[in-house]
Amino acid sequence: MHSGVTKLASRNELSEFLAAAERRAYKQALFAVRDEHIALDIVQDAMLKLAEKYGDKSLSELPMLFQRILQNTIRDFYRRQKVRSMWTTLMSSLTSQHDDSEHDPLDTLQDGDNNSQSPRPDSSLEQSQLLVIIENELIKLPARQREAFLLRYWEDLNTAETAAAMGCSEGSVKTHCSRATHTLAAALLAQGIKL
Amino acid sequence: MKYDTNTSKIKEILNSSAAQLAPHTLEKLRNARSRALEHQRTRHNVPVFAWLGHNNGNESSPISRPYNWIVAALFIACLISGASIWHNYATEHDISEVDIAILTDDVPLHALLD
Repeated sequence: MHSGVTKLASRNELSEFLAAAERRAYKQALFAVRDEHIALDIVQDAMLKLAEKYGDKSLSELPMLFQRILQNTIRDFYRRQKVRSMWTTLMSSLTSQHDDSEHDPLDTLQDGDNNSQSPRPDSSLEQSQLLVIIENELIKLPARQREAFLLRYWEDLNTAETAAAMGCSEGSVKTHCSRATHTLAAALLAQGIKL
Repeated sequence: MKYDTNTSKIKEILNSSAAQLAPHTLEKLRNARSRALEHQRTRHNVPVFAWLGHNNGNESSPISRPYNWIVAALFIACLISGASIWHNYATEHDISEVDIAILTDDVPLHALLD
């Protein structure tokens, strides 16, 4: 029986796609915003936008669309943060005289002997150390370089797809990727790691 | 100095990192996915006259086919009766204007020529 509804990506297909992409999307957002809750919010927003606006697209189109939405959502966060920090700076400059009396030194006291953050149980493992180092170096990369590097080499998008997802030219993608690779290699080599 | 990085090795490491996410994070991602799927857009091929019941057998629609026909019939009946009332009113109005003109001796020449 013909139903008047055409679903190019079925609910199951979309679910499988999101299940496969959500972890990497979360890590990408986390590298960008460095806050777990915000990263989760960004991924949730991106998933919702994809399902609402492009839920009827074919399965092959979903990876590109999702990456585009994810990167735009991350950029939107940056913009909002910029505006917020501008207002915070403005307001704090107006109220700074009153805040000094309310400062509690215990809030910022460093407790060196009793470190509340437990060490990773597998910190002795080379793989875990390498993971932490690479993630830290990725976080240090400029946003556009990190974006290009992750899309190109982690998401396996080609140069044209990466350019489309980032909203820039293929030449820019190549430049960003080259610089990111160079910076990462130099940083890892400085720590005695050669990949 | 020329630096080079094995990107496939980095990919492998990043994949292992993504596989080690905390259970509470995975739970939140699962919830986010479910929420997104509830809002999945579907493509509706609804023709212009779908409201008349010709939407390719979409029988699950709350607006059933007989109901649409009744509404359409009522609409047409209203149009016909409206047109009829307006025609009667306009005719009566014309006659009464001529009557008044005759009574007040204001009949224009062209009315007498008819």
